[in-house]
Amino acid sequence: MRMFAMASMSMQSADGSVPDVAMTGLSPTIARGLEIVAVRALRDVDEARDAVQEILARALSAIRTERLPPDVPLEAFVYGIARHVIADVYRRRVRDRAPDMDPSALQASDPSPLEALIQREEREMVVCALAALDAADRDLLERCFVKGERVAAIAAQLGEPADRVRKRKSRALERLRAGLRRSGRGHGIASQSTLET
Amino acid sequence: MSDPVLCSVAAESERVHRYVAGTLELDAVAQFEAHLLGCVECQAAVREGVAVAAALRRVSAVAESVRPRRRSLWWAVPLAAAAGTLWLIVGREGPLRRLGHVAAAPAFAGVPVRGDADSTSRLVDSGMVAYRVERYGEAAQRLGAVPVSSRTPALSFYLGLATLMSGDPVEAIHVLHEVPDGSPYAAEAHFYVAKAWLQAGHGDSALVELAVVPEEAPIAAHAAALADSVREVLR
Repeated sequence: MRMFAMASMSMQSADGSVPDVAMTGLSPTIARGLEIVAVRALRDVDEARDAVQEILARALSAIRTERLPPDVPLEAFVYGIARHVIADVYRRRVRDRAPDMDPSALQASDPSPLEALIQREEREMVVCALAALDAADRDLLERCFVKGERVAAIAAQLGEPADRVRKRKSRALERLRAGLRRSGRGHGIASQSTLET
Repeated sequence: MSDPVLCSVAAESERVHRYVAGTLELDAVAQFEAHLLGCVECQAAVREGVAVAAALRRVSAVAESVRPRRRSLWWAVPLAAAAGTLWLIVGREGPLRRLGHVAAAPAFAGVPVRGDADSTSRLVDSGMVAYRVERYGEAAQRLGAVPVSSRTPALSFYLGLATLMSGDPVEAIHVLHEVPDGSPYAAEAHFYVAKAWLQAGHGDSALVELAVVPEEAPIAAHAAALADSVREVLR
């Protein structure tokens, strides 16, 4: 049996009606996951917020009208809706863009669209905590989280076993968290939702 | 974040960091995102990775901007952790904090820091009155009540100073970073961000900030002298 945790989120569907989310209940975990997916795809917090509301509204509508396939996990079903809604936003952008606009402009070249998920304060606290790591740890984290290299590739280049590199990465993150805890902001990192109201 | 990781995807972590960096293949992204919707641990790991990536980019950007004058400053400064001895941290923190001490905040001569007359202006005015009489905690509280969207560079500057003078260097760094480069307050903002870093015990970060103070700025000589002192302590 599926258990839906209650989400106290106010939403409005595309047709203007406000779904009774608190009564129907969708997992807040799904809402937070959608936030990540939408921000990454749309690279715009406001559009992502609208998209998340639309996705949740459609999902709730499907649940209410019993259109949720019995053999499909809820997350996969909602993700399918998300892809449709995000595709709609892309289509709308293409339709609305100025005639002389470079199509590549639709794919922003920002360092990472996901940065919209975190607060500036969080980032500065991590900058602070990074100073306590040694250069090798920082370099490893940069190769992973900024350059997105595979662990195996890093290990081959360093001439170390992949398992050791994995452990080094894990320990570097642990040290970073410990530094944040010492500064009293350990629970602040990456724990806030930008889009939740 | 310190709870045991139960999700095998989060524990494996390579998918998470490649997702954050945008190098995960498209089909793997779809698979991962479908999983992400139902996995608290992977969501936390993604958010943590995003914060780490953002911080590393910020550090790189600052280091890059100062490279012509001070090559690879951030990465080259031997950090206490790299030295691996606690005494370095303990031994340097005192002198660094002393260097970060601000004996007197920049004077406020009564020039309006916010032009348009509305209810926010009254808040700003009362905050600046508190600032002038050195009631910095009160000043920080009143100026800090002004929404970020309504803050001018001047307001961010004085709010940052009030915050610093009331003993919260970390918050002061955040606020002073709101002062945009190119504003008349930018050079001094960098100087006082450096002071705040010193109060927080981070000499290397202070050096990065001091290095971006323009040479033609009135405060440049002070910034250069302070940087020399910091390097002396770090040496």
